[in-house]
Amino acid sequence: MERQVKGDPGQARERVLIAVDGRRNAPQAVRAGKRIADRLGVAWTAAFVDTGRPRTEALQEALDGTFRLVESLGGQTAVLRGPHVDEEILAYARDQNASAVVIARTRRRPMSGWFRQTLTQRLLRRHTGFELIIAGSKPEPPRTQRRGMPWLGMLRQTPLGHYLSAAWVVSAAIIVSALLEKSLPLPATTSSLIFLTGVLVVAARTSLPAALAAAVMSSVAFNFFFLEPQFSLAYGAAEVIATLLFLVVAVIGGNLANRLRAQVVALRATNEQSQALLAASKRLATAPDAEAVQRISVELIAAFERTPACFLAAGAEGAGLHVVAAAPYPIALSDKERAAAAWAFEHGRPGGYQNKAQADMQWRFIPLLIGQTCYGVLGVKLGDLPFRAASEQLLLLDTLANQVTLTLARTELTSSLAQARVVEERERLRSALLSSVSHDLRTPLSSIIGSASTLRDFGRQLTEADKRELLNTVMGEGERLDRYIQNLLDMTRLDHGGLELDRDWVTFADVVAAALHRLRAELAHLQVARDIPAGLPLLYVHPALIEQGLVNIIENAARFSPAGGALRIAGRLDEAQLVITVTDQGPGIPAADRKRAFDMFFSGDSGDTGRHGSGLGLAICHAVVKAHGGSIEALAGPDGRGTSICIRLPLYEQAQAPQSAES
Amino acid sequence: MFDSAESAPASRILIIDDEVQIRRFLRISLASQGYEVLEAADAGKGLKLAATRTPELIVLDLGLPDMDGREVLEEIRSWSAVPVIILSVRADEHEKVRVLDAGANDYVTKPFGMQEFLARVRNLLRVQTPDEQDAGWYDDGYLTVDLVQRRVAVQGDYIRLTRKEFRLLRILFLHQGCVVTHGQLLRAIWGPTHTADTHYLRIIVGRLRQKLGDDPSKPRYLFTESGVGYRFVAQGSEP
Repeated sequence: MERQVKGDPGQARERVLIAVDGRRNAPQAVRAGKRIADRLGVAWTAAFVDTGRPRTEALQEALDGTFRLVESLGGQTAVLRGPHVDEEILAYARDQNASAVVIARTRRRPMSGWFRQTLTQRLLRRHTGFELIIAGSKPEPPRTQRRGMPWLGMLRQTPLGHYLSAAWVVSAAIIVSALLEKSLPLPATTSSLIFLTGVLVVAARTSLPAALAAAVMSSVAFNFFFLEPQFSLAYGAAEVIATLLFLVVAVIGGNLANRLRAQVVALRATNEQSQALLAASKRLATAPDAEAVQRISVELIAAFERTPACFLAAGAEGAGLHVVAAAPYPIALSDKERAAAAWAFEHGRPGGYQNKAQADMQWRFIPLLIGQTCYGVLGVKLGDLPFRAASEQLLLLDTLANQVTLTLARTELTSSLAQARVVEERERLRSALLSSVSHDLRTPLSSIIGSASTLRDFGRQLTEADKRELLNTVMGEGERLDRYIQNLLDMTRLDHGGLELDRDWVTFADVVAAALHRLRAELAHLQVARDIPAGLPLLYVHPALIEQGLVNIIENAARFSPAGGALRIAGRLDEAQLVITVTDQGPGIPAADRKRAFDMFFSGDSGDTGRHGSGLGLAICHAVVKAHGGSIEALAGPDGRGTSICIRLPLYEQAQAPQSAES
Repeated sequence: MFDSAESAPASRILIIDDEVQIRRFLRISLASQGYEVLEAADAGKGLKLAATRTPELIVLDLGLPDMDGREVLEEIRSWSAVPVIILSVRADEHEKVRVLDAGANDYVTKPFGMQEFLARVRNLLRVQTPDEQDAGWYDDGYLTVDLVQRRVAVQGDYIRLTRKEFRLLRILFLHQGCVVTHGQLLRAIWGPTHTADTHYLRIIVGRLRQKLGDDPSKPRYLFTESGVGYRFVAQGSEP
């Protein structure tokens, strides 16, 4: 049925399975099983089958002791749930690929074999595929002196209401029987069936002691009222048989009802745990990073267990474990508790509460371990809980801890992937920067050095026109180099956000004129058109930066224009914005790339083999415009040809500048 | 010194580079040396000129707007063995090896001086000129190489070369002035399975230099192109 396994469920490796019960000789079976497992060199699990019968405190304590022993010896524990011990053990052994099953020799039972087979006998008959080992130990003596004690306990535990309802049912049976006897000529034995029904009802609805009480009462009442001689308690053979019959029905009915009820309770508990785990995995699945997992895990535990929980993680480089999340309130651990947590972290085994060496601890520390990686330690304060509740919750906690560990592993994987992407992106940018710098610095340098060395070495063979052309090249390329270096400097300034805008009032026409003048060499082969209406309001900008941005845009447009192509620079007013458009007749930018055009180092293609130009120019213009609160975008040219770069700059009220400043 | 260029019929050189300033000084300087210069600003035009005007040398920039320079080289190599000098701003050896292996004859890193560039141009044109390719005969007074007789002499004394040393010298000699990459040399001498074993080459080149009396730190004949390959330079022409 339902299984909760600590550690690694579903492992295909061979293992030794030790079936433990709450008896005193279970530790011997555990030790024997461990020895066998060590000899075989395989892992081992101690499993307890919870049949749903109520556990006495003594049984619970013995079971917890056994599980502690298992943990301290390095074994795994499992609780199996099902009505039949043998079936659960067989199924689990098959499931876990057990090569040997160790069971403790049960107490001597002189009557066994007459009525019902012992677990050993049942396993012996049905086992397949594994060795069945019966741990040899001194068997427990037959329990003589303790016989009857559970009965007394049960009698005491039964609520008074059960006895009252038993009395009520018997009374009803008396009345019904009397009425029937009066009205119909029935034999007395019919009344016995009515009493029997009453006993069965009591057994099914209440508990075994009440059913027994009902049986005794029914027998007395039946004898007294309905058997000849009436109104006397004389006991003959018939009376004795009827009494025994009542008792047998009470015992069978009561036991059946008891077991059914216990199973329902167990099922409900299992269901609650499954629901809890399901809810936990749902919440954990949404955790985006390790911090969230830490927070959610302690919140979950605090909610489930109704007890404080905390998460300890190792700090950076030898900082040791410290609490990174706690619920329901901030938690400060004592030094001893911290040491127990550190022990659990280092040894990869649960520490604190229920650990043999640290048994007096209030906290249980569960390491979150996958392979060799420990993601931290979950701390749960179990000391305040009733003993039994704590041991019940330990298994749930272990399962929960498994989920948390897996989630942490997942988030770590995700974040390391993201980290790798960031590193890769940085690396890509770096190499783009290098190749762009080498291209943009070396191209003008090549022309300068080539032209200068031609002049030096072959000057005498050159015509005057050639010499002038070479000198012009040296000058022009020197200026280009200077522009590029200026761009690099601007970019580092803009990039670090250390740029302060030194605003002033300027006319747009002046800025355009300055930019065109700087680029006259580049624009010589183009037809430049200006469309700047008179009466545009003044711009309140950092003039040098805006000019540089415009130079970059125009230079870029010129670079991609065909010889003799038209280049149009226009300004117009749109509400409180100045809209500047620079339109060329170049090859244009594919729609998909238009946004990226303003990325640093975007240049259509990468490195040397792509179109030249660093891609810095547009990025700088973007940064400049953004610093002024404006926007920039690349659009298709007016007739689907070329590119139109559109800049929008906000305009301000001219407080101190005269209205007619542009004239 | 430059008489040779002027006395021969003007060699036609095609420049494929998108930077107008680079084309300008190359055109002026090459023209001043008597070469006929063709210019192309992009790969399409360059390939057309290479096919229709049959230049004797092509100067190819790797960074072209319409096509990758390496593709242009492959395209040219698919129908012509015309010498190609690659211009590039990239100075790393991998790039050099790649384009040389793809069939380029030389690689010049920007920026460069005109003297060096013209020396390379002359080298390549001389190798190609059939009447100067004197059937594998070389004598500069110090070194004598006779590929037909398989004899090499230093200052008139014959020197003994192993088979591999001679093959190396022969390959470099036949590609005078050009860089021959490690991979090309290894493949030709040791076969295709040893193209990564550059230490073989270092040893052979070291012995060959020793026998030729070539100082590795200041070589006269066998020049090292670090990380790329080797180059044989005939005396009387600058590296």
